[in-house]
Amino acid sequence: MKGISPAVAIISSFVAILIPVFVAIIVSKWKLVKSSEDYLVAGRRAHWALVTASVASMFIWGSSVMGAAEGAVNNGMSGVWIYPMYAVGLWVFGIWATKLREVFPYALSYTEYFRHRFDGKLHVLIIIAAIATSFSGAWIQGLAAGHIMAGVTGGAVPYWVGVLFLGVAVIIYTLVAGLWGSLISTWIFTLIAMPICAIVGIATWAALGGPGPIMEQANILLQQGKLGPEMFNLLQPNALINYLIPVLAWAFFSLPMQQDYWQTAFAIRDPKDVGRAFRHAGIWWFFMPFISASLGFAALIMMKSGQMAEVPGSQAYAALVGHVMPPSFGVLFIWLVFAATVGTVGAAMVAIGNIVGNDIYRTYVNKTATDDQVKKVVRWVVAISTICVIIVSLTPLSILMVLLFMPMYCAPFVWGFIQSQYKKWLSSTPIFIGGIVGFGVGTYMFLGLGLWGWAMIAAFVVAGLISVIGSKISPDDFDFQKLLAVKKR
Amino acid sequence: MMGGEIFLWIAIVSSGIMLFGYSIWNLIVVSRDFINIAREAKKHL
Repeated sequence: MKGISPAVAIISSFVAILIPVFVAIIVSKWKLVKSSEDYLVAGRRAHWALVTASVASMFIWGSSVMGAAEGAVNNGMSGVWIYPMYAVGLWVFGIWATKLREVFPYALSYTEYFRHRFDGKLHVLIIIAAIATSFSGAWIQGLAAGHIMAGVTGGAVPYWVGVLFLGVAVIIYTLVAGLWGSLISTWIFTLIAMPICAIVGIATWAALGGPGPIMEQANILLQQGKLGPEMFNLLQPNALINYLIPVLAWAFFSLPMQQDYWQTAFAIRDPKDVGRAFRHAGIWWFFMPFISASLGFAALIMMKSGQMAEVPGSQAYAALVGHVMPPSFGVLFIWLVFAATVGTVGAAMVAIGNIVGNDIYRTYVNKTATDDQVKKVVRWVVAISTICVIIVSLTPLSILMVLLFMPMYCAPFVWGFIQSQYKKWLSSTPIFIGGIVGFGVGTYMFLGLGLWGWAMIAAFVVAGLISVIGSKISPDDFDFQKLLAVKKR
Repeated sequence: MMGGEIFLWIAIVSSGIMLFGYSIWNLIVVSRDFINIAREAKKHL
């Protein structure tokens, strides 16, 4: 995707920035943000379908489009449906989120659950994991904004311009509107981005002549022995073991440890609608990468047959679209990347603000803090965090390892977190020890043995066993009324 | 091979319908809610 003029790129980005500005004005005019609860969880007054769109937007990024295609390049036909299975994680998350809303109705953050359900040491450990997760997620988006802006203009617009545009947009609306700003901005961008995904996919397939010619070519490659028969198997055993399992593990283990998702679940007006919001978002999550992955298979055939230059799997989608579509399609990519980055970076910043303001400031620093004081601290944290994201993103590093490592420190806590909402005997120390041991085992398997997917599962299982066995030996007797006693702030 | 072609068609058509359809449906549902919020805000002005 090269060739759109820098002026078009800058104007498109500027128009994209105007949307969050407009949202900030509307939220301010409607007086939606009065208390810290309004700022952090949209006053628990958001419509479930608004949350659906916002959650859907968290998946619109390089990974879901480029990564889905890469899966098909590496695994053939089975890769086309496996990547979209991330959606299963969201459907399950909807069940967990419904449960947490039931046992802890006025939660502001999931980290706060650990404070009230367990003790200080586990709370602090989870806070560190939660901040690291949200910050690295925002960092990835910052890098993506810079790369895409430079990429679609063939380098005519410098890398830092994309990062700066993103940062300015995020600061404007998050400071004024908090989670309301993130929800409404991502809603608008999602409604633009989803059809763009479909248009790019369908137009590219149309330019290729549809699946017929691609499959004819694939048949020739099969007869020539350039492509193995396993690439046409929808249930290829190797892909099921080495691709489907890590995809599901990532979805199950990383989602419940991200405040970005929890705050949207807490923001839904009617707790009964929480599951529904995530079920619908999951449907969006399934179909968006489905079409991108199908293009990955087309790219594989084009590359193997010599009709397109060989590129790494991660670049196959962009290379194919750039190969068959006119350069003007680059404008659509700018909108796509703004849809992906502006709302989700804002959500991550609000998440960090929430954890620092509510979990650290209100709990450990100033226990008698007024709501206005908390709101002020949160706004400062959001501003500083956003500036930090801009600064670290200005260096175009590859932080793929940071992202890959994320489930390693998330997975060990998932069992204890979820089961402790159902069972009063789950106790803090075994979850704390299990978390550290599970993290150690997972890290060794990942860094020492190179087993990424299985490392997550091992971390989860080891930590889960220690949590359960330890809690049976030294059980807690938690009174869930304590969680219900936490009132609206 | 035929199965593969049908599968790819399913991916294209179903994604197209769902991505467009869901966007339109969501626009309608959330817009209605915003109209109500705006009305409420107007009342309190």
